[in-house]
Amino acid sequence: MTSSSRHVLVIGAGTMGRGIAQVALRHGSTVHLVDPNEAQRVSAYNAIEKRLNRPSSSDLCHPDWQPRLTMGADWDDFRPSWVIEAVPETMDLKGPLFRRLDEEFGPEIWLASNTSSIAVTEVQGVAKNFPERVGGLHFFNPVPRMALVEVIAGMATGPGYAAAAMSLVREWGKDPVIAPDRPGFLVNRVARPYYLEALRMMDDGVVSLETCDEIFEGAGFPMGPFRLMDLVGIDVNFAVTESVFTQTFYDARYRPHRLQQQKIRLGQLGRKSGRGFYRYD
Amino acid sequence: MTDSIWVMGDRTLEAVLKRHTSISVEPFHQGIEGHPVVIIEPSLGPPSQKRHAVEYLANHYPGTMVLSASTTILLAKQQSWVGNRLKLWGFDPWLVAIDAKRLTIVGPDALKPAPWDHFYGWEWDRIEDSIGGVFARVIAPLVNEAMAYRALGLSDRDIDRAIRLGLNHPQGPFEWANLFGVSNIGLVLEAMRQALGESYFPHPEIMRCMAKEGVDWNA
Repeated sequence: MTSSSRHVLVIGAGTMGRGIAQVALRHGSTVHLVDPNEAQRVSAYNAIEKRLNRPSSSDLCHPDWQPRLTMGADWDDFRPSWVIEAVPETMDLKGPLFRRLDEEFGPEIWLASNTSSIAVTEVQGVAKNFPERVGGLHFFNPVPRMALVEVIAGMATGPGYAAAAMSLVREWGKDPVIAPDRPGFLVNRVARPYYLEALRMMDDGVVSLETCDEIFEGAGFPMGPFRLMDLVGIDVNFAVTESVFTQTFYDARYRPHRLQQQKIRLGQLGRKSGRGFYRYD
Repeated sequence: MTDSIWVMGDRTLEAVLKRHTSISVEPFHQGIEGHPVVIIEPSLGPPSQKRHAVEYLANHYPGTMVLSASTTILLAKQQSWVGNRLKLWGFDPWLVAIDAKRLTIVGPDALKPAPWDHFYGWEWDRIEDSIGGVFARVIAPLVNEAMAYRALGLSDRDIDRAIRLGLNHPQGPFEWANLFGVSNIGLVLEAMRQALGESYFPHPEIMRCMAKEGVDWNA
């Protein structure tokens, strides 16, 4: 199947879902973007329109993207070759959704979760009919700019999933890597020391957060750990750490740090709230 | 007699240091002649060898300024070996090896760390005397995490690519490991394990490499 004939159902029109839809449209796929919230759909459409109608010189823009995009509160009679779920990170939402997808779509339809922390095997556990076509496709934020996509096979994922997912991701101009279905997959797991050791060092009085950031930026990192946590969101970063910690049955390596928890309690979540480890007002 | 900077062991550091000083940089060897203004001792261990090296310098070059790696053995500990016979300062040799813009230094309070009088083109940050310093304390556990993925069958190249693309790190974990040496990563982790807790235990892949290279923290 070529990219131009791909029909992709993207569920969730938040930051990740609209980013995935934008990338798919840019590379010729037909997209149906689902979100129960109309305001979210309108916001997503405006964001996609803004970006695809004003491409940078490096964009491979398909000017015909508009007829290939439909949106709705449900997928109705849309028949995809791929379903990519990008709803919030909770099994309260993902569980019922995948149960329904598994009941409504035949085994030839790939079902991918853009999970960043919930295990793919847990998601496919609710797809009782055809769990072998369920896998993970972990895009990174912002989706249009970040090249990497983690392709994750759960314990029950069939052998064809990885090849199909790699093909899709490559057609969309992305760079896939196979990641195991372990807590944090690959990137979020290996990244934990960057944040946690920085927090522990600051808490131990080894170094100030400003100096810590400057040292890493001076070593070629685009952002020091504290500046990066502020950008990502201290609450988001904390949630990923907490998820890895819980899923590893409380391995001390991933113990979340109370400084982050305190910041969250104060509403100091980073750039998005005007204050995190730094002030942005 | 001409002033010079002597570097023990590591030829990588020697090349970087030459770019930051107008003083002659010489590899240290027994019987070397001259007047060192600074001696660089970048080894990370094991502690018995580090102690031997520092005590050797104290016995043969008393009063000399020595910039000694302090990421695996506290500067305070090293100072206790030699008393006031050396002017000891601690540093993280990995930041020098990558020619980072900023270096970390451990030592007596002063407006400017004395060894840096002889170098230009670097900024320095004084940090507390602590195992791992700042940079090595993050990089070593990061490589340790990556080793688990190699053990699962992922290629070093894919892991490096994922970390560079997904996190925008300047190097992937195996690129760091190749640059600093897997056994040296193991020495930092072993020091962290002893100082900070069992969770820093080196991955078996690292321990195998250390064994193969004959590197033993307890030697």
